[in-house]
Amino acid sequence: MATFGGDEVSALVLDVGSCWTRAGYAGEDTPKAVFPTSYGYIAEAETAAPNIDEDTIMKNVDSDAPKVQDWDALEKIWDHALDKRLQVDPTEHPLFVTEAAWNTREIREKLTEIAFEKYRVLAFYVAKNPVLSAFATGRPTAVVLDCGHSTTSCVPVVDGYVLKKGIYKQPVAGDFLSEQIMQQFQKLNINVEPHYLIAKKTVVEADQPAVVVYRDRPNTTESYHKYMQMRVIHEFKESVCQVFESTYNELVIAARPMKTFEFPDGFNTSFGVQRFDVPEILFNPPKFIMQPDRPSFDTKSMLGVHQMIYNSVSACDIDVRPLLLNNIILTGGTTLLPGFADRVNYELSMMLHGMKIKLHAPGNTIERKCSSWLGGSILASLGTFHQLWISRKEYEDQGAMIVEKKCE
Amino acid sequence: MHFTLKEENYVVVENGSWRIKAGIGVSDTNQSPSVIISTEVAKQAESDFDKQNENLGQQEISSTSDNSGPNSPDNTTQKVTVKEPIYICGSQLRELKESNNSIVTTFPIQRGVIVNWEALEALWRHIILKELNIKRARNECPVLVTVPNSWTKEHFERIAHIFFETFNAPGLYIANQALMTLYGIGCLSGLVVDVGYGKTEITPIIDCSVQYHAAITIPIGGQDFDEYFLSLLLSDTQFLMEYGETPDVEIARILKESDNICEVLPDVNFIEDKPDRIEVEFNGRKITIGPERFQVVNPIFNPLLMKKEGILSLPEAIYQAISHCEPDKRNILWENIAFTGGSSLFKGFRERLEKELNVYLYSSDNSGEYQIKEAKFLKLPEYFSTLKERPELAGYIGAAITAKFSFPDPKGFINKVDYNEHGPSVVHTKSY
Repeated sequence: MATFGGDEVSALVLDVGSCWTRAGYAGEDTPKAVFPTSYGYIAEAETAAPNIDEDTIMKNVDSDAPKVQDWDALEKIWDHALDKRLQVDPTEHPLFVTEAAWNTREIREKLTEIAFEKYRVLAFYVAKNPVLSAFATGRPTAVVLDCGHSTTSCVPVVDGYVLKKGIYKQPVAGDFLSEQIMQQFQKLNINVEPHYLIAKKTVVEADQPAVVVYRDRPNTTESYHKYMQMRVIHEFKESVCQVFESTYNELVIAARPMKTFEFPDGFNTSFGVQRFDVPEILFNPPKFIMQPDRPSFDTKSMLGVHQMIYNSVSACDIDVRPLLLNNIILTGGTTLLPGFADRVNYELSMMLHGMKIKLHAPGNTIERKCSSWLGGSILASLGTFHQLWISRKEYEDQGAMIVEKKCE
Repeated sequence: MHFTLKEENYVVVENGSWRIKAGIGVSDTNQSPSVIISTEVAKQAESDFDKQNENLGQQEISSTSDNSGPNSPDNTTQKVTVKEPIYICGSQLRELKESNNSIVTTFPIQRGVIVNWEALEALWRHIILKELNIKRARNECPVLVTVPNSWTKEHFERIAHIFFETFNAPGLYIANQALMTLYGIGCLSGLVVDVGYGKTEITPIIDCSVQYHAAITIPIGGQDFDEYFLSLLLSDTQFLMEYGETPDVEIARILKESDNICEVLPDVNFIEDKPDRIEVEFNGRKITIGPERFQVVNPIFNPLLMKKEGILSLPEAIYQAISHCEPDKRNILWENIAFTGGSSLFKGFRERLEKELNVYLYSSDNSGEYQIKEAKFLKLPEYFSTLKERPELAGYIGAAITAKFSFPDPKGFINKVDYNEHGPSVVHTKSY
């Protein structure tokens, strides 16, 4: 009954990011299921439900670090995607999974093992995120700047293959920006109260303290509270923050109109210069990062994104550089900050006089946030792709090392 | 052999976990579906077909894909004996249930998911061939089938196979239920909140495009309200005394759906204005029901009441669904909320939802440009003179309207020619 050719069987495409997991069917233009890649657990039992209540402790599944931190959690996420959200039987479908460009062979082999041993899928394939993003925009050669939640990375892709020497990545991304915003708020004495704590609020004038009746929620874990606070910050990022289009100039920015924002507890105020400050971190990290409390990375060595693109392209062969610069793809949720694309264009033009620079930044939020899922969906539904799958029989004959041969 | 399809022959089938609504003829979109049957079947082991069952036709028996063991249809013109499971549904089933309490029934759709294709096909067969009296041999009735968000492309392939081969339909259009609801109300963008029997679906739609990645399904619906109401009644000693026997979930459901019993209050404090117990005459007995009649929909606002963990409450799910959409479209979604579904009909339910959504709304003059002040609910337009007070039929109305506009043009739906050329996978290339 199941042949994996043509349209008889629909492949499943699963893209586990560090913030969001996207799952769906190949051939469709949006993932059916998008849910946070965090899981909550109540002290004894562990449930992979992304929708939890205050008693649960939130943890993040770190899947694009050099090692996947928590394989159990990853399996739970896969379970949730396949079983609860898509409600499919994995044994009847081929599974297409995405991975980071810098994943090691061990991780890839382990993924293959899980897919075939635990889920017993019909066929399996692993592809690298930047290749898929390039594919989604129809370009076999491109340099992909992915500004996501936990990592910003810049990867050159030539003819569908990743050039490893050009991979640049750093942990300055959406998550880090949110934390910086929190610190900024703390400096301004703004207390972020998430929605679940508010029972009743009243209208207050601008900059007046909030008048709120709180809900009584004992047993709230700290990680849950932080998770909910981050949601508010996320909304702030989406609606208030902006990137200045040319080199940072405090006087010009001060003359820009302010934007207002109201917090869930009713406190509202206007933001002027601050709303440009935080996104500047992406372009000039050493200057704009304030009081970093993350000891794991050295803020002085962080680069601006335009710098990363330049370095990435420079690491490649001189012949391919113009082609790469002509195909710069912006992807990832953090690139949706208003003014981001213009600024990257400006900075690169300043650095590379005379060279032709072309940016591709899809305006559609789905395309930016799910570009690697989209690429996977396109690839897995192509007729010519079907001979590239690793079938269950091949895995049983040759073991997990087949993934190195077949998935580059 | 192409005949023009006439409007009075267009068929609409709306699928739900509790009821399937169907009707034929869309010239007057102001009419309610002629066929409303419960999505429930009972299976009988074997049966003899005889000449009287002309509607099904002799060829029918061999063309279904049901695998029912060895059978060789005896193709005589008089009588065909077949060992094949027969499904009973509709009014026949109701009579059977009343006479025989121990009959075992199956619900082919549970919580919005198809669990039994054979039974579902039998239900559709009953609707199309018996209730709507369409003859398979010369079928001029194209069908518009509405589906919930969770049904996949594979399901659509199977639906196409069933309707084109088993029922010989000349055309098929598979439509999304939330989108149909919006069309019925006359909007192109909005948030559809459909509180059904097995599940509640929250679907944002922007410019006629269903945002599947943002849609959320909560597995709480009328089914859970019944069970919760029952658990409250069972702990109401006065009710038990007056009623005499232990009620079961059917009794709870009937009481829940009766007029003037259950109500939803905006606030727990409002209870003080209402009488503590009301008198009701039920099954010949006079009984009183206490404050549990105000608590029926609480599970959807607090899923932990039913010990369901890891499930979002309705206001939280609405907020999350909208947050997943683009910031500049969120205003449109907040201001166009279509509240529909059989279980949304409780008096006061909408007001309670409005109040609970206030936490997520903003009220100051200084709120940001994407922060919305007020949630606005949509209503069926006034020109539906008979149906405007029945918001749960919005989906059916929208489907009828869509059928009216899609079936006249052969390119607007999947027609028999397309199906014959490409097979069931035509749903991948020609879908809406």
